[in-house]
Amino acid sequence: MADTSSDAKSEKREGRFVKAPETLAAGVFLLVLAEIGFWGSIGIAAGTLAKMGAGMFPRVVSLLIGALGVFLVVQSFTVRGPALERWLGRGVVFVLGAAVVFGLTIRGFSLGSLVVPPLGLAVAGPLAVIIASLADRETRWLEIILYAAFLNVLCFVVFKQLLRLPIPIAPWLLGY
Amino acid sequence: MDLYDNLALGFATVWKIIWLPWPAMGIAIPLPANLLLCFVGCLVGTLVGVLPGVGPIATIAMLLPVTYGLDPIGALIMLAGIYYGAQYGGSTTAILVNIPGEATAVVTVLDGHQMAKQGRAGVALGIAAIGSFIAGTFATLVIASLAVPLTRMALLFGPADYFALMVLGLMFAVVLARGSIPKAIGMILVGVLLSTVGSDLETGEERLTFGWTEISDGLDFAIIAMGIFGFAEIVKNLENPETRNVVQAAIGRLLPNGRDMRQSAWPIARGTMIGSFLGLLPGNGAVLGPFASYTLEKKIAADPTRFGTGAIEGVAGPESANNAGAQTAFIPLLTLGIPPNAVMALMVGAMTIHGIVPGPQIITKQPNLFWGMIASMWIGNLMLLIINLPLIGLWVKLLKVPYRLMFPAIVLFCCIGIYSINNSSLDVLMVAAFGLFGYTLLKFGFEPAPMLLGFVLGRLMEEKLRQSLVISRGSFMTFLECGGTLPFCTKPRLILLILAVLLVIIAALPSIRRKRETVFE
Repeated sequence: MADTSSDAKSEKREGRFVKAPETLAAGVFLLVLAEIGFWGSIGIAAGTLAKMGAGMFPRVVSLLIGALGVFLVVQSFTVRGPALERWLGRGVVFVLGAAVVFGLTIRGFSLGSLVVPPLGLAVAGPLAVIIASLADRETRWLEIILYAAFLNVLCFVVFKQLLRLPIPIAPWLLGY
Repeated sequence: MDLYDNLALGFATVWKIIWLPWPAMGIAIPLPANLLLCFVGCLVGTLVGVLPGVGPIATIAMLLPVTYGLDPIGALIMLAGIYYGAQYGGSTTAILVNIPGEATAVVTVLDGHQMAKQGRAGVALGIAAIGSFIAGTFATLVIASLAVPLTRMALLFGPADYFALMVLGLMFAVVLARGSIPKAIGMILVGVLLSTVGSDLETGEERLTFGWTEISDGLDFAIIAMGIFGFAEIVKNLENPETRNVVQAAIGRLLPNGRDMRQSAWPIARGTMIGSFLGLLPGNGAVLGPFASYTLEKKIAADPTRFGTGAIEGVAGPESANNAGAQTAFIPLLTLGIPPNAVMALMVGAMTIHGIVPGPQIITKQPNLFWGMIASMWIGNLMLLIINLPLIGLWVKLLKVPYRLMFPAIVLFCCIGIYSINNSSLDVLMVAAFGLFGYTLLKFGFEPAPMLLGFVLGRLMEEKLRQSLVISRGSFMTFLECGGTLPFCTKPRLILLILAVLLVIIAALPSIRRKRETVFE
């Protein structure tokens, strides 16, 4: 199914202006990175070739990245190439979201009036496992909750007891 | 003989008995700690090799904090074991499940799984292990014999020569990367740009930090690697739900018979040579070895149609090549201090944690570290041969764990690992950001490996470039100096740069370009 529809799309695209959408996106992406790089080193002295300042190298590299970006953009209008791949939004949101939630809850944070206390691995761990598991449609609730509990005990034994990493477990309950 | 003395020192280091205090009992017990760590490394390596979707890069990044408390020699021996152990494990999955456990086992799938379907899984696993062991032994000898001359050569290198060498290395990474050459060069430069983030080495000025003091020490390589090879990979894996059909046929006997051995002997020898050579090259070198070996075996076979239907040569050659390559990849790191790929860059991280500066001085200043690591590789290969074959049953059971249970566990381990590197929750958030960045790269058809290499070499390149220009008072002519008449230069810089240019020209030739595209299919 998916294959035939993308075939149809690529046929339709033949007469279009942009011949390689993926290459165009790649070129624009490089241009954006070049812009950030140039902007981030703009106020720093470049010095001379004999005594290069801190700003010269990043600026030259940014210019080269920009040049490649332009090259890819031009290429996307002249040489036929692949279409853009679909993004797995569900995967991005939940897998990366799991890391974000872990990072925010493990030692807590405060942002204005929103304050999260340090919750430790006992809370952050299962949260990360459950949120990540939502990325897959096949996830079963009971299974994943039991599994999260099991993993957490395993991590406690391996990382805390055996390897003695200084990771907080449950500061609100145990004090460490 | 020098080599003999050096290797003897290495073996003595690995076998060294260390009295480990045992606080609970109030006593100290004697243990061959380095040997045990070598075993642990090989076991973990095999495990991540077997499991598709977890690679050595993410694992080593995850385990970096664990090595803080260890003795540096033991830590490096263990991390090295993970890397070459993964090459062994990757073949098990390729043969039994028809999906590669590691990128280096992609071609093993072709004939290995066919052999398994014919009830010869045991023989395929056996020949893969034997081939890997032979290759590992050979590669250990290559490292041991190349180390001293290369180190001596490295001491003659000036800053401009180092710069030229790194340019050549990056060009190799470009040519060996999948996809279009401009994109690969773009990736390298993005990596170099990322390496400039943080305060400048000479002047201390903040660059590209946008006033954010948390990153003024620069970006952490482990975080970038974990974001891209841990998180972005997971999302990518979730896109194509794999079907795992662990082979149902009996595994059968493990030891190949005389005919199998005769058929495999030359492919193992050729695979070992190809793998050892390609492993030296930066970037995708170690991944390319098995491809090259498979292509060669198919080309010179009396009956090429056998390939793809369970030819034992198609397992023996590539499996030897990937193992040899995984080991010779240590040579540029140990002798020149230049990491040729992401795993070696993490080894640099592990060394820096313990205050060891990688480079030609290691061999003279810390000979027991240097030779201990080399000796541990041979011992590790022997261990892998022994632990792998009897444990096949355990690996098969592990392979039956579905991905829907595996990936949340990987996410959790990655989070704990990254948090523990600096005890920083901000690092975990940055991993998520680099995960998104890496996924974007994959979606736009970029290959992230050259970027990581660019990041790793970027700082050193800038430093060497600035030093060379200070010496030459701002003249780029210094890179064209030869110190003799052209083919007989006393300064290698010009020759290295000419090679770099030639490499790109050759890769851009239309006929080579087509071949390059077919190799990476």
